[in-house]
Amino acid sequence: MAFPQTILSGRIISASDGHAVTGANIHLKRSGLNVTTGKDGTFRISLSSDNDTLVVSYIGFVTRQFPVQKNTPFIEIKLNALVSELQAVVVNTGYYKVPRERATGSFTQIDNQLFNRSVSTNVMDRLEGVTNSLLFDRRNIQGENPAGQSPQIRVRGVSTIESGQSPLIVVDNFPYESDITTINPNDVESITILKDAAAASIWGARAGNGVIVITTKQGRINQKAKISLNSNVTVGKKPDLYYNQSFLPSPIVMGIEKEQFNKGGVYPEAPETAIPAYVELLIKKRDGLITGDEFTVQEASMKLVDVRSEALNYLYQESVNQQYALNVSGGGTNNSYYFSAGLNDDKAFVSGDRSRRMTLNLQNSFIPLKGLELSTALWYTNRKTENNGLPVSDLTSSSVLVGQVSPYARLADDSGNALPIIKDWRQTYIDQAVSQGLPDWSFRPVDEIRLTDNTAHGNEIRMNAGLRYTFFRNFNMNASYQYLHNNNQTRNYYSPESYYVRNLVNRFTQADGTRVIPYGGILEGRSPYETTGNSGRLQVNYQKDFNRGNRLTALGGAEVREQVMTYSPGYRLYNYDDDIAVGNNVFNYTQFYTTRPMGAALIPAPDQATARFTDRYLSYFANAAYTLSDRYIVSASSRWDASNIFGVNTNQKGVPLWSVGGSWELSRENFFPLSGVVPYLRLRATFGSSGNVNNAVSSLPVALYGTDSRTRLPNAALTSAGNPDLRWEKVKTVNTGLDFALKDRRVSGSIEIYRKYARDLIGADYMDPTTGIILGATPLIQNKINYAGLNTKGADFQLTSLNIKGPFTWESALLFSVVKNKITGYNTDQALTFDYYTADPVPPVKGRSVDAIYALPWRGLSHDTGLPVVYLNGERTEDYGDFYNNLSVDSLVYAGVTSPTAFGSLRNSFTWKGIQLSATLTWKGGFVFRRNSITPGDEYRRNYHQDYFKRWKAPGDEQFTNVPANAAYDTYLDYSYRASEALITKGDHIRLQDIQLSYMLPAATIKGLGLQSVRIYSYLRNLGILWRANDNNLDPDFFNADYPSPFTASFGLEIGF
Amino acid sequence: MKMRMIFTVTLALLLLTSSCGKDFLDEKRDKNQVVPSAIADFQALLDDASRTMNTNSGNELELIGADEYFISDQAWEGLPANATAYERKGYYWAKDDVYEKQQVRDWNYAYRKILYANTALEGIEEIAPKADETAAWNNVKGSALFFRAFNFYQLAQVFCKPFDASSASADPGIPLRLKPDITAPVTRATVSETYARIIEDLKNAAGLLPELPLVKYRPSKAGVYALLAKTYLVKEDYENAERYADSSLHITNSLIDFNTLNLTVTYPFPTNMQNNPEIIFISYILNIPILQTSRMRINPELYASYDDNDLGKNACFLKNADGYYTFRGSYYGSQVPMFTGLSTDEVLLIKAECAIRNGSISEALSSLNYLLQNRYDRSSFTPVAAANAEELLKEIIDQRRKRLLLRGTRWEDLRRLNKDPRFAQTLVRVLKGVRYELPPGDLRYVWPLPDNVIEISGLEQNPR
Repeated sequence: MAFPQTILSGRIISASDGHAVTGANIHLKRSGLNVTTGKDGTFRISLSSDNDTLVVSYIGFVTRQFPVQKNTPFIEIKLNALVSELQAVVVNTGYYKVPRERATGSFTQIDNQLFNRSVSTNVMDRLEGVTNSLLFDRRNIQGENPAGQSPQIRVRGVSTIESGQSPLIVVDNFPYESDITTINPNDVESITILKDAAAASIWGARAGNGVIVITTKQGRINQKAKISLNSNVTVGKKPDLYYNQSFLPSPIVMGIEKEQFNKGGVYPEAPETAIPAYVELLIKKRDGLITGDEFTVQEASMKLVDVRSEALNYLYQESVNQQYALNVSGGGTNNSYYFSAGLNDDKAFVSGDRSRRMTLNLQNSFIPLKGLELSTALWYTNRKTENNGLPVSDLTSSSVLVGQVSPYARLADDSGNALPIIKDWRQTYIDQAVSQGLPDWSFRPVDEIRLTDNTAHGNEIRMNAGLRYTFFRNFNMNASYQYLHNNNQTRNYYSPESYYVRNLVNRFTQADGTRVIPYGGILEGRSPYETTGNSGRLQVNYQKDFNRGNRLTALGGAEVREQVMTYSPGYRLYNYDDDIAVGNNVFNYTQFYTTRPMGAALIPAPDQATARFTDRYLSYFANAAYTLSDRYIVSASSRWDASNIFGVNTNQKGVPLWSVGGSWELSRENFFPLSGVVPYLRLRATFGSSGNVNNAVSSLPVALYGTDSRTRLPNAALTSAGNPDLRWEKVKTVNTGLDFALKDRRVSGSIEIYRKYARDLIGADYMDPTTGIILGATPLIQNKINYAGLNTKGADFQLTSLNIKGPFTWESALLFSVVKNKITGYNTDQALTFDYYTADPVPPVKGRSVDAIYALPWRGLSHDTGLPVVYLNGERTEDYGDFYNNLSVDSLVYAGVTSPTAFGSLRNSFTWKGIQLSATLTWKGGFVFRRNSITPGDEYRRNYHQDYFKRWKAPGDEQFTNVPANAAYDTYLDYSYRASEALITKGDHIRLQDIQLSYMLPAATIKGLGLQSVRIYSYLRNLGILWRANDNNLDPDFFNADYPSPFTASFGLEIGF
Repeated sequence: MKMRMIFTVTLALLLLTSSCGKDFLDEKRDKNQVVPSAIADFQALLDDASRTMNTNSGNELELIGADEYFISDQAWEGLPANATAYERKGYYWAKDDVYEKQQVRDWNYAYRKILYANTALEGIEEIAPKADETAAWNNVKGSALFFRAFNFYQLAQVFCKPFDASSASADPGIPLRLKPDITAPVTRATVSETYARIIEDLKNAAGLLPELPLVKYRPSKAGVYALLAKTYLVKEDYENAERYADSSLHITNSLIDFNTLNLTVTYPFPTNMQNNPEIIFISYILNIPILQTSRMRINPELYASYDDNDLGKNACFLKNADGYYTFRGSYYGSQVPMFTGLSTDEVLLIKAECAIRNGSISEALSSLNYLLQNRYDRSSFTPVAAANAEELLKEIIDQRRKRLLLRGTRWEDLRRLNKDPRFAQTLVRVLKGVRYELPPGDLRYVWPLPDNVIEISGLEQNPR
């Protein structure tokens, strides 16, 4: 006989705010029954046995268990939020928002707290080291100002060979193809990174490199006005000029110059050709223009000079960056608003360089009728950059006999007066200028900084309008529109005193003294450009919650986008008077004028470049997810794209990109044995495809006009045959993941393993000549088609642990990623000789990584000569020319990859009362780079490098050094060392990326001041390398740069009113 | 802003509900890019004469393999580095690896021209011409069809078996590229499909082109008919060949009179081909090392076959220091490039041959004599008299060899006439003491497809 059934009822509320918890899972252990709570948080479940255990669980809350009996009355259960998950993480794809627990795809979310942990003026800078799978690759950073150059960002490695590798950046639901530094990080609420196909394929043909979705702050309905003020100052050290090893100290360089001078034939002593200052001194001594004593004194003082310390004194400064951000947000019952203003003032570490950014943001939303929401948003950014600095690399002489600035060059005398350095012409020639009635022709770097006014201006306005209408209870329709416009221009003013003007005037002064170019200021504007974007989207969403934890969400829609970029001609005014803004541009730009000291030239004319690029996209998309019993989720997504970049056939019958995914929350199963220890365990798997667009290849036939040499009729040659099948590159991704959390979230994390199969990659192909495309024939018809392939595989780990809990907490976050790629299809041009493989870029080869680097095998230095040991046909040879001429691609060895294959970070945070301290360690490994060195005779070509001191000098040295002995310069000898494995250097390193310290004032202290919150913080960045695999003192992130990003320290205050 | 929003939402709705996205997507990305789209653009492509359309004609292999010349062992050994493998090895009809992976210009440049023609054809179809543009539109379409047919014809003579009605529908032809899409797969048609396409294209072109062109680099109705006559001739369809020869001659039968040439200059023919009344359509091959005048020796038997009062015997040859004769008779009017286009002399010879094959000795005689009176010394010229048909046919075939010297037609004649025992002959080369023979009907009358075509597209290779 069955037990009489009784109904047990109750209500689930959140312990923190008392709000009803909708959709919580109610489970009876013995009977196995499941129900979910309704809108008001209540539930009813039938009890079929006398005693049972009620299990209440909900995403983001601690699961609770209660013994229940037949006579248990209506119970109210308070659920506590999980410690490190005060609110469920909601990821935003740009099309929909979904709690991460309900998504099958691979997402990383960087919340506001983590995002604001670091201090920077650029959004992207804050992403380094805080998320796995995201690599900041700095191979491309060269020369000076490394912080001002954007690293290549790779999301889960690379999935293209020749096209762009950058992920798609989405700001407030629309692709953002403007300069990301335009966005004020203080306006950013959160960032979601879409990593696999299920997450990204809704972005279709643009998502192949991953998607970074930036969501800005918004006001909330029914929220009291909140005012927040954030202000900070960041001070940066001067750059480490001593890092650059392509430098030799003054006495050495002077010795080399003296040797060359004594040898003769190196310095031609032509009246005008610039030669180094020390050589001038040697000439004066030789010609008896100075006494031996004078020479000795001058020589001795030259030897003491180090131009780097001169430059640090006069050309560089400590950088100071100030940021102010104010925002006000709130909302009534029918509206919400957000207003922010930001000012960023950045005095760069190069004296004379400065940038300012002002941002304004105004957002409003209204609910005029129930179910209808209108929203508008306006962003405005104004930027101004001053570029008057003269970093040391700008001091390089135009004469190859001088090259980079001499180490003994002085920039100012003892009392700080600017001194001239050798620039374009010989000192003795320049010295005659004034006596010939010409303006002074000297170049004094320290003065130049204030003699020019070079600025760049940019304005950007972005407007969003949206309309959301809810109907039939489960549906809502969303229409949104975005308008973007920016313009960018430069205005360079050279005062009459500037070297630029004086040099130009003097060069064009005719023999009789007539000036072709007036001696006055010059004002120029380089080709300004502007971008206008219009995007519109219409989307219908559906959501229905069934009982027992079943839920269906679906959406579909269409999107149309156009972005037009226009370059206009520039201007150029001579004899420009900045006070009255009058100048002259009426010149004969086609006449060659005799120039001093020799030759003839045209008057520099205004920039005439004009261009216009139009990118258009039309897309349809759909996405659906079904949740069964709160534990099984299946999702599917599809997107069809057409674009004016693709070929006609692609647009007509293009195949949609799609993805499917599934997840299983194992820990919700009754049979799950470890629910006590592992309360949360979920498996995920997805498969699908997304695309990558290459707009450098034309889908249309392109012709080059001319006149036929025989018929004299207009003719046209095809440079592109067009390709109606030109399409996006396709990236198929398989992703499997495991998410877990141990009891009380003491340890939680995820492991994801993925494989990406990039197909239809654009690449130059050997075409069957039957197509009409002949390799090597001129004019070349473009032979880039969709055919190549690349596989990437990798894994991402993330582990968060709460090591110590209590008044003092210690949390750790460990991130680790491994990624490798291999080209699976590419027809390398067989005509490329071996030297192409040791140059940059390296030709892609099937079976190798796109990041491969090749080198000559290194067999050490000869015991007798100290020169590289090389073999020809198995025999040692000292004929490097013969050796070189018999090299082939097969002579090279594969020396590794130049992009890190393993990287990650460890962040430890300590909290005690209001104090928080955290530090991030980052590491990169599994990669190499080719470092610079000095080859025999290099110094005679003015290529200096500190390996000069490590050169082989005597037999036996070959055991300690790989740097060859000095010898006469020889191209082939040079190659045998420069291209060799000896210079392939391991890149592995660990870096102390940053330290952050903040103090939140106790509420009691500030209440009296009428404040909500006060936070004082400090942030230190670029603290340096803790360990590196190379013993050359090189920072593998900056091996091509003149110095690493300088250390910065920020101090700030954040007040909430 | 609101207006823009309404506009965009409306646009999105429109695009959603109809398929009018085409115009939206037709905008070219880079405004500076010249995308051929107007009639004049396509005409300019087809007028890329001296760089593409009229140069590098696909006759190299025909010339290399034919019996009009020979070279000494020394000259063969001394061929420069830029000489191709198929010059060295094709000279003695080597069986194996005649290309040694090198690119084959005959194939490559023919298909490049076909790509230009297909680009023009596809583009011109997109344009609806206004009334005053019809002639220009027709000229583009007709020219493109002609250029395509001209090159298909040439490829068929080199890379396909001679036309044989009994096997043509099975014999492998050439890839018939009819669209400019470079990603479309490459496959071989049959010989009969190949000729059907050539004839269809030419017949379509005939109605579109002017009788005579603005410049002789451009196709014309006269050229279309001449090429149709040639095509039917290699198909051994002598009735149609005669018909189209007549059609071409009806438009122009002008000849250059050798009696008016100044034979004392090195190159007696007009250097401006436009001024040579005999030329209908200009086409030529550039210099290839083996045929350079310094190396190439005219077959002495061929030279000897010229009558003494045949002005061609002088106008076409130049005696080298070694006693051998070399060639100076190209209608290109200078040393190296060899004329391979269409001209009235060839059409007259087709007319004569077909007339006799079709039974009209008198018509054959009148065409032949009209040609020869412009070739022989007028003071001593005696018209060919009516012998029997057999004799006359032999004479005409003989004249073809002499009049159309080094234009590539000799190879085509050998392929066609070797089937007829009356004319069949075995070619012989002697190189470094080794004797090589090419007997009638040999597989080597069909050149292999280029190695890279086989490698990339996996086409069926010609047996050799």
